[in-house]
Amino acid sequence: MKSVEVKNICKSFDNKKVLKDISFEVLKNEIFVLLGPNGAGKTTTVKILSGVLEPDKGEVYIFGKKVSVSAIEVKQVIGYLPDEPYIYNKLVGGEFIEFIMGVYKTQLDVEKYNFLLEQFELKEAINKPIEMYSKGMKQKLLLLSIFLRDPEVYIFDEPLIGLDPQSISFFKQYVKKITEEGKTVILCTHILELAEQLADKIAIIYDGKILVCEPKTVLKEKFKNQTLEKIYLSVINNKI
Amino acid sequence: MYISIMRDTFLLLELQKKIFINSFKFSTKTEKIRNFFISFVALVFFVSVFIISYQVIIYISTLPIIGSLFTIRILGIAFLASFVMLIFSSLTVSLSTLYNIEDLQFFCSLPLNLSSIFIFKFLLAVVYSSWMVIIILLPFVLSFVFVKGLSLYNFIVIIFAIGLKIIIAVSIGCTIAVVLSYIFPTKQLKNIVLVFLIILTSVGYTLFRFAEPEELLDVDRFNELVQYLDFLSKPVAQGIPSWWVTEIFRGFMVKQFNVVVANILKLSFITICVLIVLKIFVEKLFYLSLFKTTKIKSVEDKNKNYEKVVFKTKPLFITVINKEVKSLIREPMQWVQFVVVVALTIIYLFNIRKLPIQYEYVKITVAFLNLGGIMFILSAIVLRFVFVQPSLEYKMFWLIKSLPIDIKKFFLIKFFVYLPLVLIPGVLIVTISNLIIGVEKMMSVISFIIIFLSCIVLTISGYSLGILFPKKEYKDIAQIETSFGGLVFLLLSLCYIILLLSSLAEPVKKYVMYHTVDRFELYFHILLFITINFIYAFTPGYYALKKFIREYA
Repeated sequence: MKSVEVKNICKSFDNKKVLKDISFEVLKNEIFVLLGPNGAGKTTTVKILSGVLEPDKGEVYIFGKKVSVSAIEVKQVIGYLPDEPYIYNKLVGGEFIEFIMGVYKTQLDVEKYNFLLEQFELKEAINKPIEMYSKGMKQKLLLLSIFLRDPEVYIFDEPLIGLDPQSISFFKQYVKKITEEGKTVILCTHILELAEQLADKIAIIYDGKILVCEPKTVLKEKFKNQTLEKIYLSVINNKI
Repeated sequence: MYISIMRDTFLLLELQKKIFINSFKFSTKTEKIRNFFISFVALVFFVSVFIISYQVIIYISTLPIIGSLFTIRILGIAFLASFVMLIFSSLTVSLSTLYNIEDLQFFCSLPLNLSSIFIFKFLLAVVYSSWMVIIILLPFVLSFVFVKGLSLYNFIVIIFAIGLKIIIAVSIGCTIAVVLSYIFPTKQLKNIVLVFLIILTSVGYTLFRFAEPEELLDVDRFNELVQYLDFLSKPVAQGIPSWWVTEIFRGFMVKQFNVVVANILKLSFITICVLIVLKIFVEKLFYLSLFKTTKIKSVEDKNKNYEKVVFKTKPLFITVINKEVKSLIREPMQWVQFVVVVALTIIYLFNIRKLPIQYEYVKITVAFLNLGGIMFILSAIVLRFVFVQPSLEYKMFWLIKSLPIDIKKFFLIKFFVYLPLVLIPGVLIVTISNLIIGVEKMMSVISFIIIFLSCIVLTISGYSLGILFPKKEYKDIAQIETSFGGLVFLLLSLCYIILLLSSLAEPVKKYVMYHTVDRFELYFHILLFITINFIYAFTPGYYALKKFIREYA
């Protein structure tokens, strides 16, 4: 079953075309990894998917619903983590969670909350103002707020930046677990190892165009079981 | 060693020069228009100050007996005021420039002489804290030079003396900043100092106004003319470098060159002493304060333990308001500005009380013009509390846009949070000022309605213009207020106030003169009044919403 469908999206900033007619699909139970060099259009793509930006042309469907038409309904089922996670510094960590739960009208699962607090080692920090947090702690707090809500579609833009090894390990396990439970994960990253370990489907974006979009197994077959690093470099260098 | 310090300092200055030039060279079309507009406004301000000062000095100089004494006294007050302003501004600027952790980390990682970093940062503090004072002071000084017919050589010497005065003042501010940072190693120090300075200035200015300084210029207050002349000829704060600059000026005016030389020597000697203290003592203390651990005061909510608490989902309106109010209360630079607003309001009401209002027509006219004054105070409040919000929240807008909230509803909630901050002072000022003026009931009700409406309009336009012209990078809220967008908001608000008063001027005039207004004419002016309000609220509102949906992410 298709959970995310992107059809011919285009986006320009100051007359510079950042996305040029991008289309792809993501299924339920799938981890979709978007790879590409800096400035290729990965972040713009996920911003459009999460409803933060509007495309100039084209349409995004989440569970068959147009994002442009049912933005609020669609956002309710999305959990989005940006690459630069700025949050309200003057709030206490717990207040931020309270705010998020209030806006999404979600009841708190106390057991899960305590579990996540422990996993992300935020038990002490949760009572402190966010301005005292390090970058990694802010990232953990945002991940906690997303995992706690249990949305249908998870969109992560460079989720591992600033995370410690325990949190990275927990993140990978958790992402695998939720996809097995039927959720959809879209991941934007530069870390090819992460893509190698988690991806079900991989798309390589270059200069605003999707060069490759295949399930990992098919991609591996096509490139005679080479490592993802070699596949990536080969695609980018030859612009297949 | 000194050569290497100088070389490294020049390298850092070269880097700063390139940053400055590139900010113009690679600016976008919008930024170029913005820079041109700001330069134009600065030029207009410069020329206006020059023309007004020129006229005033010419007038004062022609006053018999007291003319020259009065001129010197004005100069002394101007130099003293600018000297104090420089100390205050350099104190806050030094806290952000010297302790800017981002570039400090970078500079400290380079093989640079540590002294060069301190000297470079001190020079930056000199520029950042003095440019504004120079823009205000220079046309004033120039007008004196022209009126008194001083030569170019005299002018250069005076500028040199002012330069020394600036270095002395900034050194004092910088020293206080470093000493405070050493004693109180907290990241909130800058905020604490700013809060203290704002309160001090507001209270000081209010007390100064209550002292009715205009009475001092009233010759009749003095028993004899000799007493008055004696008062005028007394130096303004004699032991302070600002007076030495005044003395240099006076020396040139009366052609006493020994006075000029003596005061130049005094200034140079003190400058050298201050720089030595800065190099030997302050620089060491600066590096010691840098390596002290920094603390942030925790704002933990003792009533709640988020580790154990079970949240209850609240309605969206309450959830968002809760967040807005908490963010506002915990930003000291926001609420402390209330002190400034209160001081301005008290002074405004005091000035109204001092007006000679006896006749009914004067009462109505003053009450009508009072609306413009109140609206201007309200614009200042909107600038401080509402206009700044989008810039403060700019980096968090990704979150708002990713939430399942209707953006229009979100803006509406924002409006309800910020409207009371404008409405309460607005209603209070209009009620109290009308009581002071003693206007009749109907005029009171009309002014109340006008102010109520303008509070709504100014809040909407302030927030909308904040979205249209955000200041993405800033060190403190003052930078957002004085940004290009802030200037645009103030200018547009001024136009709005003028247009609004003009739209009502004719019926008010007829009411004052004949106590009756033609019904159709009244309807026409009310329609005009509503149209102006509608345009000023909804035009920026419409474009802001469009920009927010299209661009912010």
